[in-house]
Amino acid sequence: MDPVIVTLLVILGVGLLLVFGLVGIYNRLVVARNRFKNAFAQIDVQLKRRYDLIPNLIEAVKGYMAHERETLDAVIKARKSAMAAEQNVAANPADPAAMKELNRAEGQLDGTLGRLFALSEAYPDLKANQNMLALQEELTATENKIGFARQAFNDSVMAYNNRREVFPSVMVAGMFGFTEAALLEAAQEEREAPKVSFK
Amino acid sequence: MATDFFEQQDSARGRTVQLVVYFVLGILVLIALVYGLLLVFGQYGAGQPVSWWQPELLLVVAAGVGILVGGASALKVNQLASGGRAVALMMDAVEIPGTTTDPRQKRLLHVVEEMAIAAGVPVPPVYVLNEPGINAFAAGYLPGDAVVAVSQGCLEYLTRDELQGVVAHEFSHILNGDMRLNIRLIGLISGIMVLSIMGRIMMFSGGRRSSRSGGGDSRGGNMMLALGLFALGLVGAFFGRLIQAAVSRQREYLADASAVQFTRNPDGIGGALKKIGGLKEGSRITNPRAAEVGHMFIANAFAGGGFFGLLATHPPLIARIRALDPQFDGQFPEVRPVDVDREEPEGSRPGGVPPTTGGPRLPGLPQVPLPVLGFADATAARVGHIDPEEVSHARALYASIPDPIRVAAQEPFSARALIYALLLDPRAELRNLQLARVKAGATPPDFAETVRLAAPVQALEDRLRLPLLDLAMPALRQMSPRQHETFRGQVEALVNADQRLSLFEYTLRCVLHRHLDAQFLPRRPMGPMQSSAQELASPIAKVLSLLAWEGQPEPELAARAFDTGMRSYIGGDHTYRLLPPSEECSLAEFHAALQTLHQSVPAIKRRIVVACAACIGANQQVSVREAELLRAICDTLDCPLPPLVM
Repeated sequence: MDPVIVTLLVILGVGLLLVFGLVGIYNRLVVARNRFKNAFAQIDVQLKRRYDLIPNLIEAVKGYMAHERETLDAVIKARKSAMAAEQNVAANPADPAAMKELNRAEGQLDGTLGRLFALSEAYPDLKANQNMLALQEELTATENKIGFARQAFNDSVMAYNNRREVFPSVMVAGMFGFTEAALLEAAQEEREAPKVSFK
Repeated sequence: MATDFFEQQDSARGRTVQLVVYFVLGILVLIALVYGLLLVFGQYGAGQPVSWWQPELLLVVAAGVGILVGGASALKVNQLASGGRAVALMMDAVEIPGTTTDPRQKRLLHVVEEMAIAAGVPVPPVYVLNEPGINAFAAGYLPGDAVVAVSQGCLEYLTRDELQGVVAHEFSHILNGDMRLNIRLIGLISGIMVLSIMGRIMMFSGGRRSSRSGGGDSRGGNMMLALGLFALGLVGAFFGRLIQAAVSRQREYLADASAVQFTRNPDGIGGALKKIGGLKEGSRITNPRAAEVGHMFIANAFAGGGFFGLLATHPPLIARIRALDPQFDGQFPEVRPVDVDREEPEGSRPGGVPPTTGGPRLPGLPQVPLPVLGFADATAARVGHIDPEEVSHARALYASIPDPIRVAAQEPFSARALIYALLLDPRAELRNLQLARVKAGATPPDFAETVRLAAPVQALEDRLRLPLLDLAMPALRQMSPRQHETFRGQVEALVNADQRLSLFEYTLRCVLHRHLDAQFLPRRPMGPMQSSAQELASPIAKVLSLLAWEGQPEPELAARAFDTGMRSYIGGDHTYRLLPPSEECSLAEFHAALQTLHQSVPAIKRRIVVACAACIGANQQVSVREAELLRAICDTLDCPLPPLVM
């Protein structure tokens, strides 16, 4: 057999296998990325629900804690910036900078809410108020859901990050701009009542 | 041509064989062409005529193409192993959250939920494709890992009836085994089309490569090679499309007919098809990955039939519309976005559904008459079908589920607690034991949620339990693998209570695992299918025994029921005796028996279904619990049985 043809065949074969392998790796990275993007879409609904509950909470509390303006304003402000951050992440969950900003804003929101609930302890009428109790229960329920969905999201982010770090995927990842994705962090502070701890 | 579910499953396996044959043929042609191309190239390079017969070259080419295409296919099949979700994610589709507030999305979710409950299958997660055209697909291997994806255009332009027609079309694919065939097809086609991808890449990097090999002659040679590869790639793509068309095109008429049969409304799917004709974007999918999955869509995803229409993955639109509406004049309607708010509210359908007998005669489409037979045979005939009465019945079922429970089924955190609650035994002592186990094994929020749902779920009617499980499926499938593992462990702890769990609750757990395992556990190839009825007599005896005791606690009546069922299975006299309740048929044995029975050919499964139905119908009185138990058992056999058994 003509040696030229043989060499060309070998080069061709190796080249094709290489390209083919790269295509396969690329596809898997795309699917892994879409998976965690999808997982965020589930949290998105719950986060928005939580943001929607907060104005109701403010209304319920305002009557009793009118002179705690600072705290109330802090909550409103934190909510606004968290909503903006969340919208950015929802648009692109693969953007680590946007996620970090959301983590920061959410942490702040949790902090202000914590202070609000801590203060509300001093108002027994408020604590017994039916509306307030219902709102707290709804908030807890929403936060439980967020917590669980967050776990699933973080699991899929980690699966993606691991996939893009191993050899040889790491080369494809670099070539096509698959950047490391950031996790959605849990609240640092715990709220007073009701006590819910979740990872 | 009367086809029941079991016959269809059999013929589905035949189609898979056909698919493989086409695939092999395609590879052979490719090998011949590559061989020829290289000979031509060799001739060009050597500058003198080369012998046309070079066995070593042929061997190398055959091996090379075989490995390449085979390897590409294997990799793709492996990538798709996680089921329908992999296909949806590949197409950049986004899952609709169960808690969505978007009215268009909610409307679609309700349509899918009704259809799934009516069919007796778990509700598939619904995805949306970011595409302006009107198109949809269903993907997966089993109902447990199936997904339905719908384009944004469907949400915008289709009425509820038309959406229902599209969804019914997809469900017919899910029920008759096409879905499995289609996903296998993707794997094989990707292999054949891999050359076209390579060729395209080589063509466009051909210029850069020439500088490496040096010399003007080589440059021309390389370009020729790349061109040759590109040409080969076109051939590969041609074969890919040809296979897609050959295997799936005729199925589309059948799916359209089934859609009409399920909804008794030719204007549903017909209206959708007409709107595809009227819409500027039609059914076109812009995502380039549609090339690999074109055959899964409800209508042509790429423009043009090419080559005398041979390459079109679907029959011509007008022909399909005429099959549904012979009066169609070829004028497509003007398509405008649908106002969702002005549509009828959920749950009210004035005008009702036309009576069972009669209905529109659709020329040229297969009719599936439901024979008027005994209860057992009638039950088997209803497997894998959907009646329009069942769709409205499903809507009523759905509305009967109390709000807090329905809301809990919509997202994963509360859905798990819902399952724990569903698996709680009716007897107080065992119940408390189970709750203690949940408290010990689960986090405090999980336990609190379970307790919250325990009372409403206990009050739930029997006829709503299995539908509720089906409804909770999409939310449960959103769990990560790690979360699923924890959940599974918790379920097992609940079920392995010291005293024996009620059969119904236990079977619910079997249904749960069958469907979740389809998604979360790696797919294992099915072992050999049992085709001998005698071999399976022993496991059937166990199942029938438990069924008999469930329906009638008095030993004589139970024995009679068992005997009726066993006779039906064996087809005459038999030597099997009703097994005493505790010793010889424990729940674990029941589960093992179900798994053994699952590994049987469709014809045997039919006998199993008939036998079980005969058993519960033996004493002329079938309780709701018995009927639902039958449905659950059929579910574990992958024979979905609709709710309206009585």
